Amino acid sequence: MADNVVEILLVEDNPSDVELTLHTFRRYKLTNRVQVVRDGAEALDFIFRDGGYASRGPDDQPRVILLDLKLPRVDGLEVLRRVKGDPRTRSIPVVILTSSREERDVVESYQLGVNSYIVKPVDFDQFTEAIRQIGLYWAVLNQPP
Amino acid sequence: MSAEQFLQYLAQALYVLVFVAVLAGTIRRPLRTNVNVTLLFGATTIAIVLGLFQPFLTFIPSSILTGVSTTLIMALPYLFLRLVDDFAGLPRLVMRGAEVGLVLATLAAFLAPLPYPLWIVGLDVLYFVALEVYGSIVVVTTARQSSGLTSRRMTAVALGSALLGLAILAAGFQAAIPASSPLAPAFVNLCALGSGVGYFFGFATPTWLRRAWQESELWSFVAKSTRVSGFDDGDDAIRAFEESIAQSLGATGAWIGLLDPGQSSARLLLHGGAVSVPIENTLIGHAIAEQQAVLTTNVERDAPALAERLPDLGSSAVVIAPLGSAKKPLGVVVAYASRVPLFADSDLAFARLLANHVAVIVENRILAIEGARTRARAESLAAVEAERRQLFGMLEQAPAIVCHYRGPEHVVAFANQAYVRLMPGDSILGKSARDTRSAFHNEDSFAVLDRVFATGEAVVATEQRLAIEGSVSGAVTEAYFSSFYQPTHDLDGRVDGVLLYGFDVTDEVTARHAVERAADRISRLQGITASLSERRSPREVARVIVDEVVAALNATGAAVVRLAADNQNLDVLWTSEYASAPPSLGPALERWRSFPLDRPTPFRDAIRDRVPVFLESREERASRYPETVPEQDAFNLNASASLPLLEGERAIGVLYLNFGQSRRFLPEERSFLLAVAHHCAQALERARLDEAERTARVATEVANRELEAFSYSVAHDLRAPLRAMDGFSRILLEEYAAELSPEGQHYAQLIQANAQQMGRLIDDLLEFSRLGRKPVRKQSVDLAELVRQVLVEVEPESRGRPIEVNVGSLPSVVADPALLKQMFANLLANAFKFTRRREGARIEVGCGEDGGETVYWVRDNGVGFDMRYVDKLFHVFQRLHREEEYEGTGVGLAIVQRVIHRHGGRIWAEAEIDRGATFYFTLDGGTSDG
Repeated sequence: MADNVVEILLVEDNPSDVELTLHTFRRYKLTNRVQVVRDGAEALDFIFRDGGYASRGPDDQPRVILLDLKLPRVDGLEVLRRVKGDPRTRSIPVVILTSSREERDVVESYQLGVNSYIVKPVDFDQFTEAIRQIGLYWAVLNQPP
Repeated sequence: MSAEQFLQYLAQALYVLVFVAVLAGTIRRPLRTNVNVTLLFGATTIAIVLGLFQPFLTFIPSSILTGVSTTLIMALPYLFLRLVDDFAGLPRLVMRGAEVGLVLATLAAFLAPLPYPLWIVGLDVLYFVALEVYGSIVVVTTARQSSGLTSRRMTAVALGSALLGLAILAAGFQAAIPASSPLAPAFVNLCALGSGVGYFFGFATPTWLRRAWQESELWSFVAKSTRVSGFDDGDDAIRAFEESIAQSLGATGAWIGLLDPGQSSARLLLHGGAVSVPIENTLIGHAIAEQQAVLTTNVERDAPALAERLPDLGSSAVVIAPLGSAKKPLGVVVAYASRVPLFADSDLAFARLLANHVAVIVENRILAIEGARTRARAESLAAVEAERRQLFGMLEQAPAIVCHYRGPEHVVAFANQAYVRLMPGDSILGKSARDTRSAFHNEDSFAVLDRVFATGEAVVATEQRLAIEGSVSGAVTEAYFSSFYQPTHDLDGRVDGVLLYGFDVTDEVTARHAVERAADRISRLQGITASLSERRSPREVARVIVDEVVAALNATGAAVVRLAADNQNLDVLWTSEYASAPPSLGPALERWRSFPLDRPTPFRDAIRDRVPVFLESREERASRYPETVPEQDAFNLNASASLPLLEGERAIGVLYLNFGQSRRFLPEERSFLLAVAHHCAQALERARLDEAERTARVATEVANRELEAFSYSVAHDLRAPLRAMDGFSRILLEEYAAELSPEGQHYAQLIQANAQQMGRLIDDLLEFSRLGRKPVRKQSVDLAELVRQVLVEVEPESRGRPIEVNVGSLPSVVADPALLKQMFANLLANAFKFTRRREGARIEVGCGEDGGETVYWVRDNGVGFDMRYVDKLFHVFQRLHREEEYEGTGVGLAIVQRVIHRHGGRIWAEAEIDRGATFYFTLDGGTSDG
């Protein structure tokens, strides 16, 4: 697997949350496989190879998208809708990052094809459970030695 | 020439004359009878001729001549008997005896020597006389049995035969005793002459004599026939008439057959009823067509239709004579006899004559009968008319209406007073129903009259609604009649008119209609209340009311108007015009949407005085509200009702009904309208409250949505920095602990703990806020089961301590299970928490009755609290224990209270420091938020 292939797309606007999440991934050696985008519009550009990501190769779609709901410009639910509404991207697992238990209700009520959720800040155990739920466990977490 | 000779010649001449006559008859009608008669007189004539010409017949030996003459003479009695046998029938023994005698006499005549010995002459005379006398007796007997012309002629024949016998007897004596008497030859000749005369009258009756005899017979017949008064007088009369005919004709019986109207058959009156026999191609038809009397001796062949009806008398001859003329045939007379008539010619002629007479009688009788019928008819008609007049006279004062219509045009022949009272204006007698004005004379009743007249079947018309025009005022009132239309018949059974009986059932029908209307109003009222129990807008309420009152009172229109907010104008909520008006009228109707209250109208009075205004006629409206006349007249409005819509003491609008004609408002109608107005007012008020409530609810919902959005923002944005504090202090402690002094580590821990505490506060606060917004979804909840589930969830709180938990029997309640679960979770978590330091911790959940309501409790024997601070117990962020001792945010009991309040219950607590606490609550009551 080439190093430049993005395994995880993290869509998060809060820099502290980004740093904490990346810190968690770093501790578990996943840093160089995470692409961070800071708002919904950028996330859509990345996923659909538009704007600044127009030159991105066609085969390097992320293995999983970690998506915050409250985002500038385009919110998380809209991103989710677009990803799940497009046949090319429908199969990409989306894990929602929630700020509280209440947000979980919102996620459940929308049911737009969310695969799992994680309450922030990203706890590695929770992340592992979410990845396990969406069946990418071995591909993403269990790195070859 | 001596007198004797003259007599002899005369007698012989008569015999020859009779021979000529019967020979002519036989040639004309070769009947067996005629042949026999001819043979008889032929033999006689030959004998006479031979006697006369004997002197010139010298070439024939005298013995032969004498033999032939004697044989011919001796044949006479035999031939006579044959004749008699033909019409009277003689025993065969007699005939065989006569034949044997004739053979013997013939042999004797030719074989005996001349002059014949006396004994032979004696035997011949004996034979001759015996046969002649026997034949005469039979003929006389038959003549006595038969009648009329035949009887007379037969009597003459019998006389002739008897005299002939006497002559032969006398001649025999003379031959035996030649000198017995000088007068003997004269006697013989006289007898012979008498015999000839008898035969002449009998067999060759002169026309004058025949006429005379016929005439007398005819008169006798006419005399008898006058007894017959008519053909429908019964069998006996006809029988008598027919017997007269038979008698006059000398027949066994006779029938009169009258042609049926089609003239294809004749109706014969027989014993046992009339029969029709066809006449086409039959002897009857022939007799009628030829206008001749006909005779047949072969009935089977010539008249089979008659043959099978003839009595079994061995009838061998039938005479059929036509009745009437060729132009006007009436029928036939049929006479039948067991034997061929002796004198067919005269019988046929007489039959024809008789038939003519019968025809006259028949025709007279027919005319007489018809005349009698006509007379009887006229009398009956008069009687019927008299009866009808009498009946109508009685019906004149009858309480029912009675009218007799005659003929297809339904001309009024009679109308009683009750009927006339219903009629305005002129008399209708003698006029066709179609030309008169009457409540009963409309297209419907004409149809009924036509039907009854055409079919003859009575028709019952129940409860016909009639508009009766008052004879004086011209006002039209409604009436109901149940009528019988009954056909009347003339004497021939034909429908000649229709009799109408009508009974005024207005009172009954009106009463029933009143009951029906009352039932209708009650059901409408129920319908209105049912329909208004649903939530409706004021406009919908008004529409329901308008539709119902228009239908209930058959109003021309109705409207519900509401007092506008400014109290100066009335707004039309709904009128029946909206439903019926074409869309193009929309703008025009808009003009009537709102109008000022200050004009003197029934609306104003209804609202101002809060009493209904009923106007029953145009005049009443004009006198009370003159200003409204032009606009109401423009719409041809007449009576009206304006009912205030009262909400408490306040009139909020008017229910208005108008009618195209004047009408009374019956008390029950008024109360119905008042009830409707009452319901209308209530429904309008409810609709208004509903609207207000809906507005408020919408506002609340908007506020709630805003609050929710705010809460999410809070949750999200307040948490972000806390997460950073928590996360980075955790990293410091976990990854940079070596670089931090113990004090630095302690501070990092404090940062983390505070951040976490604030996170919990935020969570609880959000939870509390969420409870206030969440709708309560009630359902049946098994409390005991619910408490058991909660205990399992809070069990970890005990951290392995031995805690005695008693759950009493708890009922099922109707509540929101999620809210109740949260409430019990908080209460029980508190109980676990505050018994943490208690040895022998005990927690109890139970319920009991207190003052008619169920009180639940959760009790513990924990640290309790000071009752002085009980007021603060359920307030948010209020805590009665120090954080270090018992962690918590101070929101749990506030949540508990909110759940209880949202279920309409109350909660309170009793406690004592170190003696435990008990939280009591109820779940009854409404759902209003605490």
